[in-house]
Amino acid sequence: MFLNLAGAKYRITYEAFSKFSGSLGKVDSIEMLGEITNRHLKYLFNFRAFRILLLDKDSISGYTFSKGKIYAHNNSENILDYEKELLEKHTPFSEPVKPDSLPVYLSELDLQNGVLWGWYISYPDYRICVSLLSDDNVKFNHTDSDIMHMLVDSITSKYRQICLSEELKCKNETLQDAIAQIELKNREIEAINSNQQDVINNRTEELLNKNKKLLDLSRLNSHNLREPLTRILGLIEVADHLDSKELKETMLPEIKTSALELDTIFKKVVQQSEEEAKITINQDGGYE
Amino acid sequence: MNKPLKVMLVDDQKMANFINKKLIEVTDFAHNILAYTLPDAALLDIETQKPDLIFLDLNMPIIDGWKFLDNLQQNKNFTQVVIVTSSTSSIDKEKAQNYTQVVDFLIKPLTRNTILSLKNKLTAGS
Repeated sequence: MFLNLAGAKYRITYEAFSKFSGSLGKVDSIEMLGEITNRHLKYLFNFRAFRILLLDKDSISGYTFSKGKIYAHNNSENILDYEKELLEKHTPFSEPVKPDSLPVYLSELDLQNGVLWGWYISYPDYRICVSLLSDDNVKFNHTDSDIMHMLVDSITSKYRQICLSEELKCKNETLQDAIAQIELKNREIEAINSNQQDVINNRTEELLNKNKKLLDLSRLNSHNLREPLTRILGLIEVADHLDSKELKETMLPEIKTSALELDTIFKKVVQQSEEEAKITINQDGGYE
Repeated sequence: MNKPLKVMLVDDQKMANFINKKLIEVTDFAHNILAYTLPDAALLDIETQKPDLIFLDLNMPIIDGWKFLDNLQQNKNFTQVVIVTSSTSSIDKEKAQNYTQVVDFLIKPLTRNTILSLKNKLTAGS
């Protein structure tokens, strides 16, 4: 009969645990982990207060469950004296409660011969302190420590999963920020490049125009300057074959006309070249 | 060239035509010389006068030497042309190579020697 009772209790506890495991699947935050644990804890074993602290190399996280309430802990000041001892010595214990060893929110519990239980459990990434309060009315059994260890396993692995996924999310966000920054910079660079290209195109066009003007000027000068000169030279070439009347009445006046024309054109060309040079210097932000 | 030439001079400068005419006369380059200072007048007369050769200036107002050549080509007149210009620009010389009827490109002032060389060139070519 006793065995049957124990078997039944065992079955009920495992059913409760599998429900708890099922609910854990939906948990995606530290807060929710606390809430789900709080909801299922009372079906797993008897306690007045249950407390778990998870410590990794740079953070502390933990919950105290009592009277249906959750107290969250997240800094080193929350570590109690007996927990410090547990972290140091790793020795599990169960001993009568010393009322002044408990935080305020637990000292209000009206304990009948209260017993404080403590365990230290080590995982590759975490050190865990588990503690539990029981008394004559709500007794905790050694046989319940198996289920308690399974609970701690589940909480720890879920906690680890949440931390990793948050870390990943955080890294993804940093990465997204970095990608956005890179895209922004790329667009800026493209803008600068295209701006540079415009400047180059404009300058090239300006230079082409200037070159064309200079070429036109040079062609014009080549013709205009030489034209009267060729008349003078041409007249000299045929001078031998002109009679004295032609020499006096045609050649001399024509040489004079051509020479004067040459003089006028020469002055004009010098003036034009000077103006062109001035324009070029001013446009280049020049010397004035 | 055995047959005496008939040459048409086209230059807006009267004095240029006077000089070139003298040179042609003293070198016995042609027996018949027609001088024009207006290119359009020359174009009008070309079909009736049928010159053997045209001395053509490039820089002229309204119808310049290039327009004159284009006009000849449009009318399918392939009279041989010698360009006679005061411009030393190589661009003009390159441009002249696009016209097959241009047989020579001479730079003013012409001399007796230039005319004699031209004479030899045309004789050798015919």
